[in-house]
Amino acid sequence: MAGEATGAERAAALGDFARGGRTAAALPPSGERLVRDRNGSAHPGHVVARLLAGLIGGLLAANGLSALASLLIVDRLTAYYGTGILSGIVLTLAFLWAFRARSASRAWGLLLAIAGSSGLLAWLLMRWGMGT
Amino acid sequence: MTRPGFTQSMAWLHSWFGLIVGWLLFMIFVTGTLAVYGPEITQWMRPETGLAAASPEQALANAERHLRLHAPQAHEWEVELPSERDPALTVSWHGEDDREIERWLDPATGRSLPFHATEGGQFFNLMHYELRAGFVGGLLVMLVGVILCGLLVSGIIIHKRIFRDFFTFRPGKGQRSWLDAHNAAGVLTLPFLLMIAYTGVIISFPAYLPSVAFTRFGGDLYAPRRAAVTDLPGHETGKSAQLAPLLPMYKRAVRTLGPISSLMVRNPDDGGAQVRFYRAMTDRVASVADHASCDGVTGRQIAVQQDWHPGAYAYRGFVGIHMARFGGGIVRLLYFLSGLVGCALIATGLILFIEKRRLRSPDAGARFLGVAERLNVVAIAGVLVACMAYLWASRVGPGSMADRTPWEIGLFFVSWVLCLVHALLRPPRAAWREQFGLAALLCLGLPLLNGMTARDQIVAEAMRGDMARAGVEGTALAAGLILAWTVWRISRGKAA
Repeated sequence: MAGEATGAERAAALGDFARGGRTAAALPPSGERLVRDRNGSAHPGHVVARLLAGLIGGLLAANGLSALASLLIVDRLTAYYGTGILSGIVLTLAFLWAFRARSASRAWGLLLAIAGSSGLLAWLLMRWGMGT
Repeated sequence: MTRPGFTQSMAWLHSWFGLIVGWLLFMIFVTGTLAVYGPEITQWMRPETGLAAASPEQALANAERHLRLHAPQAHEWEVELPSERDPALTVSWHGEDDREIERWLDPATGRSLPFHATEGGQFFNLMHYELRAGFVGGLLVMLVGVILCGLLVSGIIIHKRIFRDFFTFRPGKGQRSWLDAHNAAGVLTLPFLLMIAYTGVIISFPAYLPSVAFTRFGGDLYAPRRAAVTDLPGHETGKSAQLAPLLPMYKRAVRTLGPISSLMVRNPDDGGAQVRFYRAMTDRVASVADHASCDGVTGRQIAVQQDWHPGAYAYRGFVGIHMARFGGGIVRLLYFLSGLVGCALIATGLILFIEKRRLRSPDAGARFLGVAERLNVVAIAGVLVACMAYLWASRVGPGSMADRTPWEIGLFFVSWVLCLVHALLRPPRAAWREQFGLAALLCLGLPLLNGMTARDQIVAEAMRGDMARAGVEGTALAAGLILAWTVWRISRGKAA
C-alpha cells in the first residue's frame, strides 16, 4: 500500500534498539516493542532483569569485593574508607556489564559469582584469623 | 544471531536509561542546583528581618542568655552562630517530649525574631539527596547516581568525535539541533558531571556497603565513625551543677581551632555537662569539622580533634567536593552554572529521544512516544513550576500560619501533580507552551510578589547590599526571561 512503511523501513526507523541480530524481515510488520532486548528477545522483563542485575548484582559484587579487599589492608579504617571510595567504580562497571553481557542470566551469573566467591574467600580468611 | 557491538549496546543503554532515569534525574539536578544557594533561598523565604552585623562573642552571649532562661532543664543545647550566608543566630534544644525546639535570635540584641518556620533552601537539599523519603529515597537517589555514572561512560563511548561535537551547533535543524545541544552541554560539563555523579554515589557508601563493617568492625555499623571521630565521653551524673560561662571556653576554642561555626552543650544543668565547639568548614575542601570539647562545669578543655585519619579525610574530601561549601562565591557560582548546564543536558537528551524516534518512524510506537513526551513535560516544565510554586508559597496563603512548612511543601507537590494532569489532558506542544509559560510568569512575578507582600524591592535590596535576597529575585527574573523566550520559540514552531 502506498505510503505504508515496509518491514525494512520500519527496521531502519527503529534504529539502535532494533539492532541485535534480527533481520528486517523478522520484525513485526506493524509496530514494534519499543523496549527491546538487544539480542532480539523483545520482552521488557529482560531489560528489567538486566537493570536489576546491574544494580542489585552490582551492590552484591561491591560488597563481596570490598569485604575481601578490606582483609588485605592492615589498617581497618583505611580498609573501610578506601573500599568505600572505590566502590563507585565497581558499581558503575557492574551496571555497564549488565547491558554488555550476552543475556541477563549471564549478567547475573558473573556478578553473583564475583560476589559469592569473594564473600566466601573473605569468610575463609576471617576464619583463619585475618582482619581481627 | 549476530551479537551487537560494544558501541551499539552502549548506545542502547544511553538512549533508554537516559529517558527512564532522566525523568527523575532532572528533578534531582534542578533541586541540587538550587541547593547550592540553599541558605540564600532560606533568607529570601524569611522576609521578616534585616539584621545588623554582630560579633560572634556578642551573638554567643545572647544565645547563652536565651538558653539559660528558656531551656535550663534541656539535656542538649545547640547554637549556630551567624555567618556571612546566614546572619541570624539559631538556637535549639530538645524539650521534655524530645521534640526539637528552634528559635532565631537577633545576634546583636538577642531578641527573638518573628520568623515563620520554613524549610527554606533545605527543602531542595532534602529533595536532592533523599526525595524527602528517608532511607528508601536516599537509596533510590544513590542507584540513580550509579545509572548516571553508566550513562556518562556510555555517552563518552558512543560519541567518538567528542571534541569536534563540542564546537558543532546547527540551530533550527530540529533533531540535529537537539543532538548538538546535548553533545555541547555534555562535553562542556563532563568533568563536573563525572565528579558530581561519582561523589554523589560514594557519599552514601556507609549505607550500601556494610560488608567491611562486618569483616573489620565486628558487625557494628557505627564503629567506623566512632573510630574516626573523637566523641564526647561524658554522661549525665544526676547531680545538679552550674554551667560555667561559655565565652571563655569559646575564646580558648577559637585560639585552638580557628573560626567557630557552632557549638553543642550536653547536660547543661548536670555535673557531667560538656561543651563542644565546631570549627567552620568554609575554608577547606574536606567536609570535616575540627572540634574541641570542654568540661561544662570547670570550663577546662578536655579533648581536641584536629588530626584526621587519612582515609576518613579522603572520604570527607569527596563529600566536601560534592557539597561545595568551600571556595566562597566563585565556587558556588561555578557549581550553580554547571548544574544548570547539566539540567540542560538532561532536558535536551529527553527531548532528543522523542524527536529522533518520531522523525524516523512517525507511526511506530506513537502511543508510547505520546506518553513519554507528556512525562517529559512534567519532568522538565512541571518541576520548574513546582519549584517556583514552593517559593511563591512563602509569600501567599494564610498569613497567620506560624509553621508554613507543610503549606509550602504541599504546594510544591500539588502543583507538580496538577502539571501531570495538565500534561495528560493537553496536546504535548500546548502542554510545553503552557507549563513553560506558567513557570515564566511565576519567575517574572516573584520580585513583584515580594514587593507587594514583604514591601521590599530588588533594587533596594541590592543597594543596601542584601545580595542574598536580590540574587534570588535576580535569578528568578533571568530564568523567567529565558523561559518566556522558550515559550515564544515553541509558539512559532521553532523549539529547536
